[in-house]
Parts: sequence; C-alpha cells; structure tokens
Amino acid sequence: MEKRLSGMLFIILSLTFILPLVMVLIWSVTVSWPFPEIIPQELSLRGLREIFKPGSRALESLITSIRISLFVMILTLGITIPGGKALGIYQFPGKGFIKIFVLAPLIVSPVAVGMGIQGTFIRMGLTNTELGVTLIHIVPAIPYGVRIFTNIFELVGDEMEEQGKVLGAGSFQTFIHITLPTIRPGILSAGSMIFIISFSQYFLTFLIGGGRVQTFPLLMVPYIQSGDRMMAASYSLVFIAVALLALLIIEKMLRLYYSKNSGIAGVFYRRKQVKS
Amino acid sequence: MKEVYLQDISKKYGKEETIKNLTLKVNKGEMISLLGPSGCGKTTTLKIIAGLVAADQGKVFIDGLAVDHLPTQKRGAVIVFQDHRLFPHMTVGGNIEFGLRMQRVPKEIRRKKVQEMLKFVGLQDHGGKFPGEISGGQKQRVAIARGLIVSPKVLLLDEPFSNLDQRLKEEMRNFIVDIQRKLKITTILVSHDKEDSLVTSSKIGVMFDGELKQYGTPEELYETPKTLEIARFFGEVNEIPIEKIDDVWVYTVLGIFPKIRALQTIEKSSKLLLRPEALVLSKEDKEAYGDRGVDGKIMNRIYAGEKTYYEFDVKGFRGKASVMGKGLWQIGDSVRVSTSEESMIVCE
Repeated sequence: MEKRLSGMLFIILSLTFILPLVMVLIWSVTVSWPFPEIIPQELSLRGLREIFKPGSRALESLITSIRISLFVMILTLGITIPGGKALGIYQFPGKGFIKIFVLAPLIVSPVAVGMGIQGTFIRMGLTNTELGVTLIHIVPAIPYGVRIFTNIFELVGDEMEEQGKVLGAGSFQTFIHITLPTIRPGILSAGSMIFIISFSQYFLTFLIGGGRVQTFPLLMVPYIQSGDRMMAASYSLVFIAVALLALLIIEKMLRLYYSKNSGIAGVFYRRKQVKS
Repeated sequence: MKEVYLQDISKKYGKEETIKNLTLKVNKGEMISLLGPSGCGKTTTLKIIAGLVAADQGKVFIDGLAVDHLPTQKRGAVIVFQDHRLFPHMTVGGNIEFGLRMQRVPKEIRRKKVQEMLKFVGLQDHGGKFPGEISGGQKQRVAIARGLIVSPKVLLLDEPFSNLDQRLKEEMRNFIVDIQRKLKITTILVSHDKEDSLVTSSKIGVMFDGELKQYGTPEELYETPKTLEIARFFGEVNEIPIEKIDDVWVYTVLGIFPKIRALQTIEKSSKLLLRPEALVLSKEDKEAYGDRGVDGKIMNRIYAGEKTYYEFDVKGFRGKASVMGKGLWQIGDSVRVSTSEESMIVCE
C-alpha cells in the first residue's frame, strides 16, 4: 500500500516536472497549434536556427550571460564563504541580528534595492557596463550563499582546521588544503545556485545595464511578452540547457580540482598498494 | 631541563573560570599526564599550550622560549585529539604526509618518511586506504603517526584511550609508552581514567575545577594524596574517625597508633585514610596479631574475581576491606580487623 502510494507520488511529481519541459520542447518547434487540434499542425526549426545562427544576437547575449554569471559566482563565493564561516563558527555580539539582516535582499524587493544602488552606480559610472551588472547580481545571490555556508560551517565546525594548524599549516594553507575540501558540497550547491540566480536576472540587469548589456533573459522576455510562443520556447529551451550544463560543468571542475589538490598523495599510495 | 613550562595560566569562558592559576613544568623527554574528571580544564590546557586558545593570563614556554605571541603552526606542539580528526578527503598516507607537505619538504623525502612512519606504527599495508576504511585503533595510530612525523617538541594527547574497548586500550597504552620511550618525545597526556595515567606517566597532575591540585609521581599520588578528593580519585578509601591525639599516640576506632611516619604531621582537622587493601582481616587470633586489631563483624561480601570486598562494622564504624581470592568469611561472621600506621594516608 505504502509502496503504491510512493509510486504514485513519484509519477505525479515526475509529471509536474517533466510535462512543462515536454511542452516547451514541443512549442520550440511548433509554428501553429490552433485550439481544437491535439497535435501541432506545423513544425519548423526556425526558432532554434535563429538562436544558433552564427553571429546571432542570441548567441552573443548567451556568452555575455555566462561570463557575467561566472564572475558573479566567483565573487559571491569569495564573499559568502568567509561570511558563512564567521556566522557558522565564531561567536560575536549581534550575531543573531546579522544572520537575519543578511537575508534582507530576499525580503525587500529587488526593485527597492536596485533603485537605491542605481543612484550610486550612476555616480560611479558603473551603469550601462557589464561590471555594474555583475556587481548588482551579487546582491540577490548573497543571502543564498551565506545561508548555505553558515549551515555547512555549523555542521563541520573548525575542528579539522584546528588539526591542520596544529600540524603546522598556516592560515592560507589550512584554508586551501582543509577548509575548501571540507565544504566542497556547499561550494557545489551554492555555486550552482548563484550561477542560476545571476543567469536568470532580468530586472536588475535591465535597470543597471540600461539595455546596453544584453543578457540572454533580456532578449528572451520580449518574446514571452509578445506571445511569440515558438521563439519564447526556443529561448527557454536553451536557457534550461545552459543552466543544466553549467551545473554539470561546475561539479566536474570541482571534482577535478579536488582530486588534483588533495589526492596526489592518495593516488600515489593507492597505486603502491595495488601493486604490492 | 624543562621543555614545557606553564606559568600562572588562567582562562575564563564567560564568567566560568576554566583554568585557575595553573603552573606546570614538564621536563624534556618526559611523559606526564593531566588527570581529572571531564570538564576540569584539561583539554583547554592542551589547547592553550598549542595556541588554539589564548590564555587570559600567564605565560607558556616551550623549549625555553615564550611562545604566547606565536601562532599555533609555529609552536611545535602537536595535539592528537580524542576523535582522531583524520582528514576524510586524504588517504592514510596523505594524512601522515600532511605536516611534511605544509613544510614544503621535497616529494621524494616525504614519501620515504611516510613509508618509514607507516612501518613504525605497523600500518604499512594501509597507506592507500581512506580513514573511513580502517578501524578505530588504526585511526588512532594514524593520528599519532601524523603528529610524530613533524618531530614536534611536545606531543599532546587528548584522551587517547577513551572510545576504545579494554583490549584495544591496553594495546594502545603499550603502543604509546613504547613510542614515547623510543623517541624520547616530551608528552602530555590528558585523561579521566586513573589507570591510564598511572600506567603510562612518570608524573601525574591531578586537576579539579580548573586547578592543579597535586603534581607528582604516580606513587606519590597514590600513597600520599594531598586531599580526600584526590585519594578518592585514585581508588576507594576508608575515612577513619580520629578519637584523640596526644603527643605520642593517635587514638582511632581501629586502634591506637604511634605518631610516626605519615602520622607525624597529623592534626585534629586532618583526615586519616586507609585503602581497602591496607586493612587486614583475620580470625580472632590474638597470638598472631597481638592486640593490634579490633573486633568487628562482616556486614557484606562483594566478590570481584581476583579479590573480594568485605564491608565490616567496628563499633558503629562501617569500613571496607579487600582480600585476595574469595575470602574466608560470610556475612555475619566475626572478624579481627587490623592495620598498621605504615599504610595510613594523612591528608587535609
């Protein structure tokens, strides 16, 4: 009975996740699909072809988007790892308050935050630049990063770091050889989350980029709004594919980095053992 | 020559005084232990020596140098923690190699040294395994090997024998004593188990509530503890009521004893203690024991294999004696209880 229930739940959940994807997939190649018909009436690869046409605006904006998201990811990780560590491990007055305060960008609407920062960015000459867009994307990403790393550090504590120091590792060595490998799952989940948050920003990009910085969502949204379903679906398809791909690549890269960094000794001894 | 010297160390966490005016000297090549119930500040003391915790007051000297301003990694004091803390993302070999890697020792030398160390601790076949793949005792060895390979000036062992079963515990004790004798490494061991301390250390410091109550050889602590608390920590004691003291004699419920040996310093406020094994039970035989003993009655018998405990009553005083083997008496039997001033403990 219970097995059946969980089986049914699995099917329902899969359908809720997969059906919309299937719809997007179908729509991306459908020119017309009038109401009473059950199957699409006219198929075409025009939408996808347009996006992948060499030198197309879509392709260009895709590269811009990926570049911005990557930098946002690196910068935000750089801010939120130490931040999360401080909140997760160290004791200091006002900690509880800061823990909540850090989540402010989630509570206050991005419009309010963006408007406030825009003024400053104009003065600094950061509006209409890719740097400005990159910096503003950090704002909505920080709460997620800090939250994840706070939890991770609360879980792992600083015991391994203590051990590293006792064995003669300096602060930087401890960070590279012990802290980073320990929080690897956190880097993976926070990193991909930040990437996707930045990758899907529309309003903040529009506000600070002023239309000059063309990211992928910036091109995509007008199609959705104007009701060009085929183009909107094609863009969505690419959007989802890139986000998934980014996740996979981040994971692969992390794995490679760690096997290189910590495993030299491990691989050596492993080989030795196999031989003997 | 003293290798580690703690001078008047104090540490507070909030309002709670974890360590109070601790002064401790450890000679080079010596193995001592800090003994006390959990929460008495032993582990904090280790962390202060290693520089993981800063003392509020006092100075730490290692090898004659004040190290208070030095960060942990430059002090040359390695802690082996109770929970081993092996790096899970490195193999056993990688864990042992870690300290050398941090010192940027060339790869070839590193590998040679790691192989030697693996052999030294008897784990030559386990270098390629990950910490999750070896047993608790092996983890302990890896943790110790990892500390030893950096040739620390002082090795700090935090409860190395807890979490181990009895057989493994004895094996580990021998292992540590053996290594310490071979390498002559200055070692401070922290434990809550009196036996661990007695068996392994040349000196023991007993800590209660953040204070070092007594520091001396195992014999000194067992035979001449300064307080009732310390005496109790090392095993059961009978507190013998004192009836009267004059210039020559001490009158107790167990008889009259001359004021010699330990009894020389006795005062009215002192406590007179006797370990169960210092009480001799015999048949009511005045010829063999003279008039030294007093008559009593067996109230309870507790059989513990190699010895048997007897609880007896002498004029309302309830005492406990132990005899080797299973003993001759049953509950209710009359018995003669005797002792001598030689085995008496006088303390505050």
